[in-house]
Amino acid sequence: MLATIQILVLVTLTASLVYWLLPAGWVEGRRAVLLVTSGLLIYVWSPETLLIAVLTALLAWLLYALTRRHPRIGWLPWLIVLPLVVNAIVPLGELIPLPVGSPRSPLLTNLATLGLSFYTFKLYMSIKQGLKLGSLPFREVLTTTLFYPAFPMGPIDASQTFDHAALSRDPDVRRWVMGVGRIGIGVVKVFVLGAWVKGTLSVELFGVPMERVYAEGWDTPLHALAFAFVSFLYLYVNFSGFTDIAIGSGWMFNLDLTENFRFPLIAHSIQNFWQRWHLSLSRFITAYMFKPMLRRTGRTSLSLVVTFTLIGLWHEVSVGYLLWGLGHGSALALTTWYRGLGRARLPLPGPIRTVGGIVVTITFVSVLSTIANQPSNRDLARYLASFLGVQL
Amino acid sequence: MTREEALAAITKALTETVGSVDGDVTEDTDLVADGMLDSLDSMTFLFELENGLGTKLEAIDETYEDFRVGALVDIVVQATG
Repeated sequence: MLATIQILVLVTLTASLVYWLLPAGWVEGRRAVLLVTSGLLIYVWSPETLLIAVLTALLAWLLYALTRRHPRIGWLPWLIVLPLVVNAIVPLGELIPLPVGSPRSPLLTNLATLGLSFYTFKLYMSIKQGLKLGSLPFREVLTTTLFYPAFPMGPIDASQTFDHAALSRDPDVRRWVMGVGRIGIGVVKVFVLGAWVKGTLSVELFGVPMERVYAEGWDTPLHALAFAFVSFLYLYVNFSGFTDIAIGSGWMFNLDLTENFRFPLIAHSIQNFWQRWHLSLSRFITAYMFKPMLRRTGRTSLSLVVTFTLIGLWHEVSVGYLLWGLGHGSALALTTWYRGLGRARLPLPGPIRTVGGIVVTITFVSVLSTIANQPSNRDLARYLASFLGVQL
Repeated sequence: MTREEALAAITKALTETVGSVDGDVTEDTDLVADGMLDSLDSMTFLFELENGLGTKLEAIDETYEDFRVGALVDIVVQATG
């Protein structure tokens, strides 16, 4: 894995230097550098992945053209989720015809849809913004889909991030250096801190590395709770580390990808958590799912629960993520409803209320996240039972 | 609708959204930057505002981000004639 990152860093350094050697006026040459580099890297990773990504980008562009022609059919852009829905039923990798006798690795089939969830939302945003601006060139759609640093896990940005103006910027040495530094921070998070949490810390607390805890099980409710904190910490370090790498890579090309995290571990309420965690998804949810649903139903709580349930299933169609979505949606609905009552806050000193809020929020989101990420329904049942002190 | 009436409608929608409002709401207030609304609230607020006015504000789409009260008053006055 570290070797892969070393190669990616080397490729990014080289590609960014070639990119800056091209004159600012030759935007399509610069775009070609981004597309060829991204396309090649994804192809080497898995050719099926590249094919699915390009076909999905084409679908997005067709949906944009169709919606422009038939603006009254407001739901047309949502058809971009079709590949995701099909993939939930039959893995898309299995639908791609290979020559007779070709071996098909199950791993390759899984990889075939790497990034699909993320670029589906990027493409939806691109269609909507394209409709607003009255233009959506296919080359921009393709760039946002394939841009390799953000390909596997975002951030979720529309194709306008890669428009003509963005690609014609002058070289910025300061930003390039900052990009290298940001990638360094990401690498340290993922490979030093993440490895420490997953290995050393987990062994210290549970006697085995994190991935083996699922097999060993959880003896007591406290044990299960401690595991929730550790696995959520690992998720945060890993996810934010990869985001740092993506954003830093963007800076090396003087491109602005959306910041995705703002110290979520100090969130003092569930609403505050969603202003700090996975911000690009949070913005997408608010603008494109929650608001239209609120307009349609007129009910804030219902809209929140339905929106977050759908977002849970967007992550993965599983019982764990269904509970995750219901949990986040219900908690947000409850806090929004309570605040709407205009009742006084708890009569506690401010710092105690803040610290208490942080403890409750992080406990809640950690447990929900651990529920969602259980490898199987059987593991999920065992994990939930352990909170009742029951061993399954 | 006059600017004063528009401001009153905005204040009412704000109260409907967050329960109670600390301090005065003037045309110089920025509802998000001044911490009165977060991103989720802002969508509920716009819904309450449209609901209270009984009309859809065409100038406000899903990506609307300008929560300066002065700008919102302009939109409401224009939409309600």
